[in-house]
Amino acid sequence: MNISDFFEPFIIRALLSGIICAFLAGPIGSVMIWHKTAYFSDTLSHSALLGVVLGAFLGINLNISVLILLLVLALVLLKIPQRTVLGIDIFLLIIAQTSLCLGLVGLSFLPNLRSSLEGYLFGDVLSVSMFDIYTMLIAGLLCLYVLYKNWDKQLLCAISIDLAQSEKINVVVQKRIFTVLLAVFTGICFKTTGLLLVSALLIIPAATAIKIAKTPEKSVVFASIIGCLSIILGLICSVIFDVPTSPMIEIICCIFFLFSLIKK
Amino acid sequence: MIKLKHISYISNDGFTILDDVSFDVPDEKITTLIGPNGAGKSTLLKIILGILKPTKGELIKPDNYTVGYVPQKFNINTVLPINVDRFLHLCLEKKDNNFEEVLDKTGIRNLLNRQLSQLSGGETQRVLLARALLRKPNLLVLDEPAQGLDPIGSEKLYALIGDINKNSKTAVLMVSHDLFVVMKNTDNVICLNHHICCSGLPEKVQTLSEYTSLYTHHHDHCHTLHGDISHEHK
Repeated sequence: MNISDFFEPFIIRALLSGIICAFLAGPIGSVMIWHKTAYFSDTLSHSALLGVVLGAFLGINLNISVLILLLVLALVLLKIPQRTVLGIDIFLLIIAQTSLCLGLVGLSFLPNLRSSLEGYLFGDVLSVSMFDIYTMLIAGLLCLYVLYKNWDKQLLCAISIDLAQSEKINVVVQKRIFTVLLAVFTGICFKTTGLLLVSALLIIPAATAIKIAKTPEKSVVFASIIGCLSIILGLICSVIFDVPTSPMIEIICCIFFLFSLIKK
Repeated sequence: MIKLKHISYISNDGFTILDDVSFDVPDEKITTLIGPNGAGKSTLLKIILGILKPTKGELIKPDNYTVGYVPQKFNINTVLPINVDRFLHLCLEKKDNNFEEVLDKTGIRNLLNRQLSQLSGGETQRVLLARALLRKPNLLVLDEPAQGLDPIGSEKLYALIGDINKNSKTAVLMVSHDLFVVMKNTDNVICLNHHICCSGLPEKVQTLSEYTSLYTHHHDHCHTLHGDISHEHK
């Protein structure tokens, strides 16, 4: 293993896309945990493959078809009443598994894409193009701007929906805003992390940061830093030991989480 | 003052939670709602707060009438790390001009730098009360404020609510199960079990058979299991 290998353009692109994902996962993952809707992200990410398949069938850009499917699904998910006999988590799990299986079945009719299944499931950080990175950067900045504008309202909704509502905050709008952000995040990041590991990058750094932070903002910054460190270390480990990248990133995230448990 | 006129509320699954409820919440007075679990007390508060829309009837509120809400502390999510000071300032529109006064009144100055998640029950309740007061409400709505507090803590809290009512002329509407305390501190009692069973001054209400039977509930009419009124006499 030569040190100059780390400066190959495809490694730099992988690093850039990973850092954008991890940076964005900080605020979005933190708010998701505070809203106690962590299971939402799995449902959305498992459906990304169906977006790929639909895009291929319709002959449109795959990034766009994934994004559209996720946005539609996200808004449909919000319509599920919170109190159902089975519980919303069961619904979400069924939707997640079904859309993943629909995606897998659909993919078998698309010989061109079939070979890239592993990349969709576990991420193909090394095949990210410069165009992908520009898209991620623009969409990511938009997400951050929207979240920044609604930050205090999102916090109050997380603390108490009733309190927020009694103070004339439109909680339905706030919920929609956040779900759309989550869908956009999943859409731009699943190529890097793989659809099975989107939630890991969202949840684990944010859960680690909550343990050590004293303010919501610090929690977000810590989550982004932990995510970025995991990306960098995971990528280095995967190059050195020749192991798959995004599982390695997940494992590094988890090591940080374990350290946060030991502290105190 | 707020007027409720023939308010009914039917839940999504067709269950009548409130049935033709009418009363006024007078200015500068303390009104207490009592009633058994599932009687629709919290639903009624949510309608007054504008969180729920009544299925039938109307709520008449003067212009620029602000309602401050103190939710049950069990509904407060403490997963996120946030201190009391930041929590009090979240989304606060009216600027700080009564901040110091509210801190002194509720005695939470020493809690400002504490994490919201690490407060005791009584402290949380006082912080929530302070947040409601920062909005300079015309009416303060409290949902079982003393739930989970020890007897001394709950007595102090009710005394604080009484002081706020007297000193700042804020009307108070609260749900409470502490009947003994309620009768001592309130101006007006409303007994609710889907409909209003009886209401009036505490001394008067206490003598009514509807009051004594509220929690066992045998009055001039009977209820089906769903709380609907059936006119067959038992």
